Amino acid sequence: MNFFERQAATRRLSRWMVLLFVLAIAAIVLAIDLVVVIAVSVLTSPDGGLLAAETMAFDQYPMVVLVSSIIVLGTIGISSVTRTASLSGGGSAVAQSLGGTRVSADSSDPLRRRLLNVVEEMAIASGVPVPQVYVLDREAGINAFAAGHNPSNAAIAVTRGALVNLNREELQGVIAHEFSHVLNGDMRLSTRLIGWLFGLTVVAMVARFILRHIPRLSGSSRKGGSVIGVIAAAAGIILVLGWIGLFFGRLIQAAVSRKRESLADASAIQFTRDPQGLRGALVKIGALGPGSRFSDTDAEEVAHLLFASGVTRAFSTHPPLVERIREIDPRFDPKEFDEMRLRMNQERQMAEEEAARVQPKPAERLGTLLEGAVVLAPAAVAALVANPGTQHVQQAGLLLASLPAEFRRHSGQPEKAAAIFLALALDVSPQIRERQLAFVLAQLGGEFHDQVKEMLPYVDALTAVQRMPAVMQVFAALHQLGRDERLTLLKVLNGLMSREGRVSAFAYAMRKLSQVQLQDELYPRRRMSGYQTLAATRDELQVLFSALAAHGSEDETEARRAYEAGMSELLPRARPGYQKLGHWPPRLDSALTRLDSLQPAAKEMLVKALVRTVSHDLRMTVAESELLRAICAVLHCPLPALYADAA
Amino acid sequence: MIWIVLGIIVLLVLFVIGIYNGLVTSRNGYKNAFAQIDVQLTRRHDLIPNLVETAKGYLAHERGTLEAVITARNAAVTGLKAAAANPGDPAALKELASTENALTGALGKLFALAEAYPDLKANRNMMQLSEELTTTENKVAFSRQAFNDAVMSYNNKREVFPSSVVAGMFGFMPAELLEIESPQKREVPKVSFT
Repeated sequence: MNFFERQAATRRLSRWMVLLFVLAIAAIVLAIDLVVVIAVSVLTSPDGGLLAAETMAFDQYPMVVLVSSIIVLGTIGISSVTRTASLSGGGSAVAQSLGGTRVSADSSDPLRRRLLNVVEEMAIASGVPVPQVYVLDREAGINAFAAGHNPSNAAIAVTRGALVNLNREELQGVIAHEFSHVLNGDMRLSTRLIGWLFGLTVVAMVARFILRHIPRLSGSSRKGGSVIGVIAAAAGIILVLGWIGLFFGRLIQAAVSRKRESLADASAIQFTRDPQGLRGALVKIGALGPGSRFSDTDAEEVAHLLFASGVTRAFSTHPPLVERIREIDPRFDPKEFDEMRLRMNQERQMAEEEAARVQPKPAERLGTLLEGAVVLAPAAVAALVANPGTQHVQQAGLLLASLPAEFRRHSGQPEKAAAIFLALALDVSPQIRERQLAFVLAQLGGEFHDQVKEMLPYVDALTAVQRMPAVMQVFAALHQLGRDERLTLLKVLNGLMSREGRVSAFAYAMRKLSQVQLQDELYPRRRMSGYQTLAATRDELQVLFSALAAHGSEDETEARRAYEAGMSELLPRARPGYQKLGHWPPRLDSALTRLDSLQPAAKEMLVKALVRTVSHDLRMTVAESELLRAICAVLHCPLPALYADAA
Repeated sequence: MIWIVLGIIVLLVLFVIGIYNGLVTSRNGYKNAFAQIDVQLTRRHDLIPNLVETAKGYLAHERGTLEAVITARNAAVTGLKAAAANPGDPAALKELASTENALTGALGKLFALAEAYPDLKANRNMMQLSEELTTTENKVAFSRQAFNDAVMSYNNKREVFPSSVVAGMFGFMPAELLEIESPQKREVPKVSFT
């Protein structure tokens, strides 16, 4: 089957789907009408006695049928439309609704880096733009999906289980499979289907809601237990009828998915020209405890998007695993699952022993990494935005490796990571720290407070250079926290900062980076680029450059010089002069918010000018480096950490 | 009568212009496809000094292998420069393919050696560099596919009648396919005891 045949098949399939969908709706409406008519006639029948006085004439039934049909159709229609609208953001909206976190381009985590690389390779192989990449950190099974309305707003999401358990070739096979969904147009169909299916299942959900609230109703109303009884019976029957919707929904899911999955497997092998990768991934799913199952129950509605079946049910969305493997390798023997399980356990053990054996040596180069003579080429730095060079990835690795082993072990666990995170935010002076700890105690309780205290020695052992990499390391684990937990953590962080007398550059940078890393993901921005010009934001630029210049220089003359070095670049003719800022954080905050809406070209110039200010004295301090990184993150120009010998 | 002849001439000229433009478009197509390869190969060449630098600390006694990698890398840089100047030149492309293959061979030996040094293999830098090298080589392999397709379609256009006449008139040269060994086939070199 070639590309065009596959697209034609997709179109045929969509027609089938529409037919099934219409049938499903008709079935639901008819069934509910029937139940309502029966219920009404029971309630109004003379010998029922209940509402005997208002016995309904037979010719009023069409009215009842019409009203109930309209209500049912309206419910289905409105819920379908709302769910579809909520997915208008494309693939990333789907990925985020399942708790996915975006993999940023400057990620230095080796596993995420590898994932990004594999996705880029497949984008080249299939000639599709590079989609956004998400990781579902809470899912331990091996699974993945691609969602979106067209290749340019597509997103590919991979579970943590897949990221950790698969090797490079296997990951490539899985990603190639997902790319074939993007390319063949069935991703579009599947993504739309999410909205439609929601409409079909909503009837069952409404019935369930009514049944759950019946006990309360019967408590409040004296009038007739039997009225309540009839309502309960009707709701129960409607719930059963709602299952018609579920039934059809799953039928549609299975119809869309099953065939597609085999086809996607075939074209994945075409892309990678290596059947072993995909085969290995499928075998590992069979061998792994959680397999490909999803722990999140919301996965029900995306079951037809997944790489392997995420939920167990009657109409399976995927062909059986063994069958899929045999398509690739006809001589496959299911015994291999057990062998693979053994091998995976062995490998895990070996890796653990290896990790215990290799003690990270603090790199000697680390000392010279910062605070050295540095001449940054502004143009070169601007090119680094969202595109870190190898040296940066290496240096980030070096810095991470220099963190104490204990620290790295704790920072991998979400609960401990939250404690470390707050411990990092505490001030160095004992009095302020005392006050901040009291605040933590009041906000989060004794247990958490003790954990933070427990982590303090690890945090205090870090050098100034290591603190920011430590924060970045902790973010990886914090991504596994839920939305509410993240927001609480950010609230407490802000509280801690406000209890600090004068805000240090590190504290400010940490707060800003936390906002970008933990909060922006929850509220994604719609527009990527702004419209403001540099001239229109001169006051904001003045604040920004004054703050940055003040942090890199010892006295005011030098600060003035640093300020001019950057500002003369941006506003060559008329510009406001250097200004000594008092309490700078709030002013810098509002300046940055405004500057975020600069035009893309203006942002590039801004980054170059910032680098000029930082490097004008041929020296980059830790404070400058941290501030620069935070500023760029807030402006949505992610910049790798810059150190002396990286430029 | 004269109008008919004139009309035929105008049609003929338009026809030739159409073919000529088609040829130019598809020549630009493969040149553009080569640019993609160029980007990836350059990145590969940039990664190698870092790799050698990292490996040096562990492989002090294997100077020969390390130097061979550097020599092969420098030859490949020259080869790439020549080919990038004119992606259509068969000689330059053959030269590029052979220097790249030599580099792949030298790297293969280095990685085979690294197998014997667990500390080097566990080195974070080394792991990251080999990941970056792998991805770059994969990207080369995939963009090479696109390049070869583009070259094939250009050559077809150039050779079929009637566009072959136009191609001959305006001197459209045949383009060469790029044959770089696929990195996925990289194997440990066989050791012989003779």
